[in-house]
Amino acid sequence: MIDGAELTNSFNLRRLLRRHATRVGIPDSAQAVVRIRHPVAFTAYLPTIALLHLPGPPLLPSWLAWLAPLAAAWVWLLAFGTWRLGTRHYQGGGGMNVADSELPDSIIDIENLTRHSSASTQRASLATPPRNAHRRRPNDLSDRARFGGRVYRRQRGREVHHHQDADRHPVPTAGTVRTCGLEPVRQRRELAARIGVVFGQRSQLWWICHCAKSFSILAAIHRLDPDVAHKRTYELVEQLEMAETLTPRCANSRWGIACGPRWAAALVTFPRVDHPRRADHRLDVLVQAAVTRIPARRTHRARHHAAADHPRYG
Amino acid sequence: MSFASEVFSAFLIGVVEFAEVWVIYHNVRVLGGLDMNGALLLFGLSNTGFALAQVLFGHLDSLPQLIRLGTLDAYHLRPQPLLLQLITSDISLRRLARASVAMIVLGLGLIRNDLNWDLATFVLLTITLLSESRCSAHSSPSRRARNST
Repeated sequence: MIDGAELTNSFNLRRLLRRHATRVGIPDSAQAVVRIRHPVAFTAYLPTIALLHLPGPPLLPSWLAWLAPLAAAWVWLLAFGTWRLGTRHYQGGGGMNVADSELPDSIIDIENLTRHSSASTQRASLATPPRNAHRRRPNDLSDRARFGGRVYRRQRGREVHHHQDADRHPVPTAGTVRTCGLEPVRQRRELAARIGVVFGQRSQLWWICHCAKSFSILAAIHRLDPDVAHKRTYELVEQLEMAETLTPRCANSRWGIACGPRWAAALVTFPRVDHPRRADHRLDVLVQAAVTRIPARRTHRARHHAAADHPRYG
Repeated sequence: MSFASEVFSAFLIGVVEFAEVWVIYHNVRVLGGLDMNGALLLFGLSNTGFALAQVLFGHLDSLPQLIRLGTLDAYHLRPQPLLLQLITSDISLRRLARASVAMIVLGLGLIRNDLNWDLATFVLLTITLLSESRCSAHSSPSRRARNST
């Protein structure tokens, strides 16, 4: 990996030298090409000879100084083009990627998902319901069939209402949905583990327990194999350097100290984190931020700059 | 490093750069059709533009570090243009020190050359400075992004 700053520094230095070198050399064709691509002469040399009313070399007449805005626009265009090229090819800062072959192409796969309403439900909806329909407890099978969806019960004080919300939560009758290659309802446990902590959600630590206890609870919830869970926890403790933060209760540690365990709680279940905007642009932000460097104790000043650790932005 | 020492070092860098030019022209008198006064103007113009560009866009130099810390990926998650976020993320005032050196030299150059101060001169100076700081801004961050992946 080439450090970009070094590369550009060399460019900058050369450019500065070239600008100061006042065109002593003969302007050969190679130099002319360079001048067209990087019009450095516009920045200082041309304005100077224009201001001093000097003739200048034959290839660079002094009236060219008035075209400086054009040169600036050209350079901007060039820079923006290369920037676009660079960001298009940028594939994340690195980190632990799950092997690509294991993962399906997109997060959500939908196939022929539809909702057919049968003739009987349509006929039933045409009939006028009794006036106290919303008060009646709709636990008989015929009611459920007629609603064709879920029946919700809401109680406010003494009043009980039952309402159907079939429009908002339509239950499909045909087709399949796969989220991360899993069935969203039946395999929701695996799915939750795969997704991990959603950005902006509070971390999954139990604040009255010791941090270490939280991890065993989490592993049990996600039905991780105990051996695997132990190994994973140990791994994360190593990587996040949070050995000393495991023993006190989570609630006792300050924000900065609890930061490591928070990351760890998000990572215990080997989650797959996806870029929300581009499906092919997978950024495991969580993993990466966790692995690169999270100081165990944050000072006041450092916290100020840690935008990447903000719960909102991963 | 404290702010004061950073400002001082930036100031020193500007002064040293100027000293190089001064040493050359003090010995040679005329180089490439320009004498000392012309060189002052040249140096002032080029360095002012460069320093102003550094003030506005200089922090893009730390792009590799941003990539390593994962900050760039965090920027990717926000619904704003990436370049805009990077440009507005940080503006360091210490870079103004170097700009001040350059501007002082530019002022000297303007005083010591006997320019006829008509409208054309003013307009030329203004558009030069404006477009120059744009030109120098092309310390193209793109190359870095590409090389760091």
